[in-house]
Amino acid sequence: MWWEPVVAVAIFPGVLTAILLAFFYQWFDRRVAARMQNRYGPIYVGKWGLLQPIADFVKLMTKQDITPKGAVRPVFTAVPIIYFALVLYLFFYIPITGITGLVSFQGDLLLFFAVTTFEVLFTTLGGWSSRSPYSQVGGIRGALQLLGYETPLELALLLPAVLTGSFRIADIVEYQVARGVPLAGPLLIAFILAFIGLQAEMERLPFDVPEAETEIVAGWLTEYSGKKLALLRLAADIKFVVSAGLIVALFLGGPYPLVCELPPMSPWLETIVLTAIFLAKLTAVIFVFTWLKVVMARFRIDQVLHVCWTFLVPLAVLQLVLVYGYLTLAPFLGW
Amino acid sequence: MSAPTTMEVPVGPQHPALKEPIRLTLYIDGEYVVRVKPRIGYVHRAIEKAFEQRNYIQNLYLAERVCGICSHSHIFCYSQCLDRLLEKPAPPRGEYIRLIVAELERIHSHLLWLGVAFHEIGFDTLWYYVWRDREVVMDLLELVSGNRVNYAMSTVGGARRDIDNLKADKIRKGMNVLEERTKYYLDVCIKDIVSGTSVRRRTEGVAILKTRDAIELGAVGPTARASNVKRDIRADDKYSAYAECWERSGVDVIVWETCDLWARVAVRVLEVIQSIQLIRDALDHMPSGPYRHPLPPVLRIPENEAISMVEAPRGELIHHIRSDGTDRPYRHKVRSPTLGNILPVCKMLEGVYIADVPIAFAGIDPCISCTDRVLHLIDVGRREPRDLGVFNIFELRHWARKRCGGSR
Repeated sequence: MWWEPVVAVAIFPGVLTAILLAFFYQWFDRRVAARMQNRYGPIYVGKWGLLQPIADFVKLMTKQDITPKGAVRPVFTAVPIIYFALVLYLFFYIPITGITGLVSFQGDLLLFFAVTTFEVLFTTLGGWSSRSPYSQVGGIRGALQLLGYETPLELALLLPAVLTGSFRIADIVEYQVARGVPLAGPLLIAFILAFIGLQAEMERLPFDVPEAETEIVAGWLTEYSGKKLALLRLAADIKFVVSAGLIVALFLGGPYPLVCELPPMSPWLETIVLTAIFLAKLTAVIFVFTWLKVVMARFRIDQVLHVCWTFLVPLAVLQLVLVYGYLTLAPFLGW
Repeated sequence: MSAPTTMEVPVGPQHPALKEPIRLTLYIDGEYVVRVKPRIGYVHRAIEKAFEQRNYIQNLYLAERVCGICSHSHIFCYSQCLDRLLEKPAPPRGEYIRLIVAELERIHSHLLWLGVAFHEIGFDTLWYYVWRDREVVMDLLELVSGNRVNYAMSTVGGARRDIDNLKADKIRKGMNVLEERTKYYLDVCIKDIVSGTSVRRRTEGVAILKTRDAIELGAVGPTARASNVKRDIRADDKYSAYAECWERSGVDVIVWETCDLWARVAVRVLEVIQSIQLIRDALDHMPSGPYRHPLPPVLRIPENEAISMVEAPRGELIHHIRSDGTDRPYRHKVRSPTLGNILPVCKMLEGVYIADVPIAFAGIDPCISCTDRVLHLIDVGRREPRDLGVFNIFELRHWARKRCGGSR
């Protein structure tokens, strides 16, 4: 039908799904972190505080939108919109209801990396354009941090591509489904590195150096308020879901159960089952992200670079060597 | 010494990293701090002048409000000073009660600092944990005094309320809980592979204050002890009931050799355990008898002069009073411990990363509002700078209005 792609993009598994998942997992993250920290977390709005993120979003939307006097207005205004659009765009690549996401083509994994790097560029731009010292320091720290985590993270995320021989996320999912093995097993080191690297990518503890509250207020977000801040916060939440979704796709077999074949069923039912499996895996991954946030103190910017280059990069290279060793030896040994 | 590469970054008097107003002008070379220029005096409350305008009994309440966290240390120091002015020591039971409350307060203050320190390095989980456990000691303070902050437990000639056996048992139980929890934090900071490593990564080798500098610049309290200076009024002066409790409970001044931020964390955590030992000892050996001398309706103190020193949670606290035979002090001088630590912290900050400035500054447990004492105004608006001298708060307000040209 003509309306099917429209519904897919606008509602499921498109924009609306992304926003709802973002709200839900913001609540999940806050709530689980709060319970780990012996607090309650959000409890007042909706059942178990489920609607708190939406309430926060609505509140921010109604707040006065201030642009600082010295800010570069066009850039300052454009950054939240572009940033939000980029993050939302990445959500379309995450396979939720089947092998492919909404968009899929050979090399989409590379495009994914390019866009995530763009995002950091826009954080720096946003910090620079607001002309507040805190924002500028935050923006510069974001760019500096990128130099540290990008290499190990992208090595880790490219390893599934090396092993499967394709730069297409759908192919990587298919590889895992065909063999019934999640790549998290053979690529354990890369799997762990992906968690650490994505935590840095999302500027969450212990890598929240660009937003370090006790040092530089809110980093590059300091001068943003009202609708712009609401949009940026929502973008951060979607990015959270996208990052976890990427791990699910690359390392955990996407929305497929892997342990058994799906019995034949109607397409509608299959979509529902696959989505449920995807959400279960996503929740597990997000739980680990939350746990990582809770158990550590913030790094200093020099320590981020130090840890990334002396610890994470060698590990990523080690995994690369292992994968190449396997690929070279496998034909001879008849694996 | 102003190298052309340095950049001047003002921190404060209003800054998100500071809980109280102080201005630190940082001279920055790249990511490092080269030199720091402090400027205090933003929260001058003319409290010393206020002391002179009230009688000794009213001043009890005022002394307690010099500081919001170490309130008992101030009233302890003040009432001890009055005891010395009157040359009539408090009864032993009163001294023991003062000691117990002082040590409970030290536990609460150190745990408060520990939480803030964890927050500054971005470790909010431990912050919540520590402050939850701090509630145990807050509840005990409320139990013995009825208040969580200003306990009003000390007065001229003894303590104001008794600690009976029932309360003593509850304190003992609370101490067991706190000892276990404090040891847990020590374990987390030292042994735990994920959390401990990340705490030590942010604190080890940061903001070093060498022993020599600590002595020269007159560091006090845990800051000095973390720089391996064996300086503790409780051991050096043996005032009040510490004369008996200190030796008997087998505690010693806690010092740490590394002189860095980690040492300041370790010293404070170990001091919590030390305080627990002191409280247990004091409760076990509490002498019977009265806990306070009766007071005359109007307290007049003959011409005399006395000084009193107390080891507050942040270090050496001094009250100096001069009486002139009336019911009011002729002069009352308070020197709170943070003043002694301002110069050391400026030395400490030299060479640290900008990112470490908040935690390094928090490392001395600053209490700016109780530090600011005297505002010596110099009118620079005229051609000849004129020294306007020291004001009390009313004169200051009047002068400020005159300067602003306001009508009120």
